[in-house]
Amino acid sequence: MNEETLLKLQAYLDGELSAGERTEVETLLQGNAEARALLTELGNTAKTLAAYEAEIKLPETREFYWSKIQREIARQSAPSRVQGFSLAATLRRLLVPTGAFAAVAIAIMLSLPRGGGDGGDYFSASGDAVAFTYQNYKTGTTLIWFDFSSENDFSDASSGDTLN
Amino acid sequence: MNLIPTLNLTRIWALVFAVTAWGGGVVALADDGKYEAKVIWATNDEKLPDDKKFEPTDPETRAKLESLGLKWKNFYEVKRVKFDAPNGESGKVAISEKSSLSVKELPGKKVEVVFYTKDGKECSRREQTFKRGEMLVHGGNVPENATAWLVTLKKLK
Repeated sequence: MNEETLLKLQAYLDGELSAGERTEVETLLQGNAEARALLTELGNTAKTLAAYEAEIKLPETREFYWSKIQREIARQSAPSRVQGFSLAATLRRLLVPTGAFAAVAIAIMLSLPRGGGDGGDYFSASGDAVAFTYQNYKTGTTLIWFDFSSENDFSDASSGDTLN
Repeated sequence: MNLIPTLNLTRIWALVFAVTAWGGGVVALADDGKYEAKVIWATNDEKLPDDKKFEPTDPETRAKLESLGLKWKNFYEVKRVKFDAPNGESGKVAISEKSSLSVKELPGKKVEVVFYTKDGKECSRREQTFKRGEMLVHGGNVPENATAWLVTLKKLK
């Protein structure tokens, strides 16, 4: 038997077939022992399941039980009660975002390089000196580098403490 | 109802702590700053010339110089000068024959450092926050031998 035949037998048992299909299935059952055996087995299974199906009994009448469910749904979907003016609640509403904003501002300030960057510092080179600065914030070290010509004082070989 | 606060042990300790902290702050404000400057020779030569008897610079200074990303690997201390800044001003302090500097302490832990060349001419003037543990380095190339001179400044007190 193919799957379609099996499904038709189940539908026949459940009374879901049209008159024409019922006649067709009954014709099949008359000439097919396997189909009859299967139909008997399906019928036994259905009876067994029906016998052991748990019966749920409501503690109240059906109408009263559903009215309780309806009231609970209505209660949960109703808008919350409008509260009166509360100074504490108003302050809380104002202070929570203000506090959060302050915390973010403090975090940003703390994350900025401390010790003053070039933005807050002042530097000027005078005379012939050409200089640039570099600051390593991590080690707290600032470099001022001069770009002197070779005739500068620092490379004066005739001087006593020259380095060259 | 007793409106006079009870002087229990905790309050006494809090009072002692507050007075001590306030007094310490006053003493610290009145104290003179102490600074240390070093003349450093930066080179890539592994061996010093025979006429140069310099010692490698201390590890702290070396670490700070290395953090600047300079191209030299070896740093030798040529000279070390310690000086005070009485009333917040050091005046011009000779660091070597060719350089001197002055430190002026400003409010907000700031300092103004002026660097002078051999003839006493102002070479640079920098104002920045400067705390203990930090270092200000002046430097430049010595083109003749591809080395560099450095003058480090740090606050001791």
